[in-house]
Amino acid sequence: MVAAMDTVVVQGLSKTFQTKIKEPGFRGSLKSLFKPKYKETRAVDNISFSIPKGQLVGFIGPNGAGKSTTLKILTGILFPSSGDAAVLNIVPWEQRKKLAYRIGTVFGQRSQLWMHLPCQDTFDLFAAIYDLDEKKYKKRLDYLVKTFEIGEFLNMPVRKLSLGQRMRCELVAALLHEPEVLYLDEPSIGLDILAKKTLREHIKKINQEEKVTVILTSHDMDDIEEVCQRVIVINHGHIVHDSSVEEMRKAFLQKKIITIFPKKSAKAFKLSGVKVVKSTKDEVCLEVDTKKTDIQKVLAKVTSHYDIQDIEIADPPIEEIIEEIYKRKE
Amino acid sequence: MNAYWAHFKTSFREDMQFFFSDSLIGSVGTLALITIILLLYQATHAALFFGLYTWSMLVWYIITTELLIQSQTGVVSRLSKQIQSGEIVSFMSKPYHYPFALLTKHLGSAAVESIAILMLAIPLGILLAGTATLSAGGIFFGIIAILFALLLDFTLSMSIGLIAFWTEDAGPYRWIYSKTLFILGGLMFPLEIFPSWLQSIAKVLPPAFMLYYPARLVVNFSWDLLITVLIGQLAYLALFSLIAMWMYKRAFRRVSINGG
Repeated sequence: MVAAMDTVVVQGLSKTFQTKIKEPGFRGSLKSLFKPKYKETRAVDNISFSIPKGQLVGFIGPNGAGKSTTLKILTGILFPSSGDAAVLNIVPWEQRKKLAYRIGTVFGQRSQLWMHLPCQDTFDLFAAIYDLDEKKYKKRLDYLVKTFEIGEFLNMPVRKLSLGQRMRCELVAALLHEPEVLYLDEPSIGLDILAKKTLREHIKKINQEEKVTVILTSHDMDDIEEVCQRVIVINHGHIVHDSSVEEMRKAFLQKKIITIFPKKSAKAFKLSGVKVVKSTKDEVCLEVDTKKTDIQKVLAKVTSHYDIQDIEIADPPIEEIIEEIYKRKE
Repeated sequence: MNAYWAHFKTSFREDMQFFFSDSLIGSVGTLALITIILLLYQATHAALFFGLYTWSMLVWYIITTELLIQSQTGVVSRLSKQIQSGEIVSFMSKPYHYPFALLTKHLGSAAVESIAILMLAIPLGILLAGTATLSAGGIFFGIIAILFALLLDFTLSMSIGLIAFWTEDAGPYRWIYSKTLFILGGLMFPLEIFPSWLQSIAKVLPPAFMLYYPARLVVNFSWDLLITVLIGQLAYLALFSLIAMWMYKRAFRRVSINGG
């Protein structure tokens, strides 16, 4: 077992899954019945990192990179194939129950709230599960209800809540027992811009006020930039980058993608530091190098050049950032 | 213990949300089925054919077995769905023993279903057969046997549901299980309808301890029968609990949550 001062310590952790493969058609089904074939998938491949108390770490990577698998190993739900890990000096898969009292989890795609009951009922249930003293629980719930502004829908069935409201309730449920470590697995998935912004503010606030160590996985670079202090990029089960968000921003987030949906077609757009990636009658996609050109200047030019129906500004997709990371390493 | 009791209450409360729209309406269907079976037996004088049953006994026997089968609220499909969708993660990350949490959730749902059926079936039973057959001992120990039958169903259903960890879908196994229960448990007919050789086999198998014996205890209570029922139920409960726990331990090690 790894013992350390850090809250989370991971050393040479690997996880391999066996997936049954089947040829298409009836013959394939029969074949797989009598002679099953398996494919080994190395979801996490020899990763090591450590996280000190109170740090807010972003864990990013494309689909299937190994982010969620790592979090599930650190929760104690999955057993690793090899390697060591300790969370609060506890080996997660050996003492899952003991660790569960000290960590909180939110899996964005799997709700822990009871859908047909008001979230208050789930909170009461969690208070019993975590053996919370009634007075302490009431005080804690009051505080969280105010902090996350969920008072007005505390007594509404969860199924009637918007995704953003539900996610705030999920966070409250995860924080009821004052966990020292919080795992947030894609909490912003499917949320609109306003709901994402509110969620990020709440995560930051709880991290600052309670010094909770947070590991946040996301596809959205904005989540990481606005919330996290440190970023770990994972791809094909390997850690490909580990730095502060500031360093990452300077090194890899100098580009912005502007997508314009014009009402009518216009002449070709030209501006130094701006590359036209795609240009059709209905959609124009620009890549802006913010080191060379100020984004505001580009926007001003774009609005005067096009009769705009809609416009989007985004970071380059995570796959492009990873490609860039590999290029620089080479 | 507090956590499991809270789980039971929450599950009960959740299912109560749909008491009128779901449970009670569903029970009307069950009631219609019970009535049709009983009318069929009445028309064919089947009670006399069984020999050991009066008309009144047969009425309460069918009501009890239907109550039992309707209260078994789909542990297999619930567990199978949780495994397939990966939803099981939310439950496994909590500081409790997952099988007990699943059990108490199941019992909470079963309690709601039982109330719905009893609300309609008791008046029907009184109307068709009166209460002469029923005794205080039969009702009291019958309830205990019913509870053990529900636990027995849970351990078996859980073992079947856990198969989904290996096969992804436990549906076909659930189908075999429910049909075996239907035929060898004596759901719509007491086991005495079978030829004696089949009767003697069926009466020692688990399905009989989940339907036939608890119902027989309600309609024809005796201390000898009570001892037979409890010994059989406890022995099977111990065996299937061990199997379920063994499978759970093995399954837990091979969790490979779908969708990451």
